Amino acid sequence: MPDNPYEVYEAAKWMQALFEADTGAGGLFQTGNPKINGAFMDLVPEEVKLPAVRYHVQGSHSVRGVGPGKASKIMVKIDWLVVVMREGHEVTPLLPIVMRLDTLLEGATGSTTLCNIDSCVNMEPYQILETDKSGVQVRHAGAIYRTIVIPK
Amino acid sequence: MPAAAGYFVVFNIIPEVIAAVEARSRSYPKQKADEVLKNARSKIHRVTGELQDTAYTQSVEHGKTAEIVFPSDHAAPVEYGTYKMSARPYLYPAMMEAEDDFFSGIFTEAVMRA
Repeated sequence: MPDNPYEVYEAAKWMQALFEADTGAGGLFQTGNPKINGAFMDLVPEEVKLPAVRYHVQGSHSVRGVGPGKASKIMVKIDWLVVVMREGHEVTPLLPIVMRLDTLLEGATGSTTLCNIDSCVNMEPYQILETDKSGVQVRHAGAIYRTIVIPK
Repeated sequence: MPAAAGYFVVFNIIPEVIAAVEARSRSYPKQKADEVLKNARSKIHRVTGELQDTAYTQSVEHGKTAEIVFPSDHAAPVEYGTYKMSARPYLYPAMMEAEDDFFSGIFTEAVMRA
């Protein structure tokens, strides 16, 4: 269970909807020509072929006012690692998807029934090459994004 | 004839504050890094203990910067996750908890000393 679960799941719902709605020309899920095979919180299911996007909470921190309980929560900073993964060493084929993710997320705002997402900013880029025990290489590329979530 | 308007400097501690901030900024980063490391270690789910036990902090740039080093091969996969393993962040949350009071830790203490 993450810290601030209520805001985390609300912000995740918002982020997932943002990705899935990107069905226009050049979008992540462009109709008939998707760039990725899915976007998933935490883990990409085994049956899903790469490239796919995974995102998870890297850290969160709440700012509270006076008083007990949820009502005193003023805002929650939630930092997300958002990466696209593909099999292979090269990072270049991932760059258009990384750019698209950034276009969607940087400066985005929104709301769910329970929270407002007041800002979303790119904090720092991230990329890593993972090699598993069988020698298969998976490249991860993306960024850490900070969302400011205000409970309604 | 109206009285001349102006300011009277009664007490100027700015030079002392500057000197205190300078002195504090050479010791505080390492002190804070040690606190963050302790907090980060407490967030790691202990398996072999290698990830926790090999971590250390070091002071660089004459104390104005401190590094928290996790030399274990497991450090990045546990912190950021992999294709087949969920992340269990330990360092980033510890850093986030510390970032709010980092500057006040330098300045408040320095002003109090001055």
